[in-house]
Amino acid sequence: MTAATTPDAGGPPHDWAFEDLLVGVLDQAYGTALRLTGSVPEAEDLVQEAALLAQRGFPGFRPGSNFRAWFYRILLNRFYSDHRRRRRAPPVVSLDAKPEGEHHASVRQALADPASDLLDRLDADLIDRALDALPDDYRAAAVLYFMQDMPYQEIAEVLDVPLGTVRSRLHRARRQLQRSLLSLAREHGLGTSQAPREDA
Amino acid sequence: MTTPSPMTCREVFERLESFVDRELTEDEMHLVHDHLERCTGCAGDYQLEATALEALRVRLRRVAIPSDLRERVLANLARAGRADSTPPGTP
Repeated sequence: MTAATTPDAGGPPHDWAFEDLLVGVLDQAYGTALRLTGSVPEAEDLVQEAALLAQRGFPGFRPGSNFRAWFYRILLNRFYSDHRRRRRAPPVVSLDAKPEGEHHASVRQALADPASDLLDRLDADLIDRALDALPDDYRAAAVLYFMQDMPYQEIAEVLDVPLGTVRSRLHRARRQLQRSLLSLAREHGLGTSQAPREDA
Repeated sequence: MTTPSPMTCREVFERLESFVDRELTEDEMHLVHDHLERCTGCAGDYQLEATALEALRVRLRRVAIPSDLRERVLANLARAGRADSTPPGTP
């Protein structure tokens, strides 16, 4: 099946099929690019570059297949190959897992405390910093999960990794994000001084 | 056909993220759901996980989309399309 095209006077045929599909994902792609790069100009550059690559590669796109996953794969590949090089090294954050019970107790303590209402009081900058502290691979999985509500299988397709790898990266990203947020919140005097309750 | 055994708290805890994401098998979804209906401790953990995830999701999605993003991207594509279709050496 060929893409619907309309000849433009004096120009190349206009690919309405591609444009319709692209417009449907553009705003969310920008949001994803912003969370990946942490920079407004870089986010727009990334989206522009991905759109160009997608336009050129569109003849190879299988009609009826998942355009969103196809486009995000292009965007992520571009991010890894180009923008990743330009980012400063993120702060080193230990990914050594606390025992799950201990982690859960401290999160439960912070989030259950009505006086702190932690996440509401954290400003956007703190959340950006927490996301920025994730390694690129984990941040990519987390951004696709949080921003796009992508099922695990689609994330695996976009990142071209096995499903088990997606589960593992998401698990670690979510745990690390929660730990970072708690740590940042304490630095800013948020949270509670109550002792954590014992796990059952 | 045997009835699956109820899950322990540990088994539920290990599956909590996937349960929140609805990424378990149908049988596992039922088993976790049944456990959460009976166990207030695990129900509290589930509520915590779901609340924290939703809060993060809401905050991370607060992104200001440039109002003219679409126009700029499409204009750039149109320029690139004209450049790609221009024969080399054309002034």
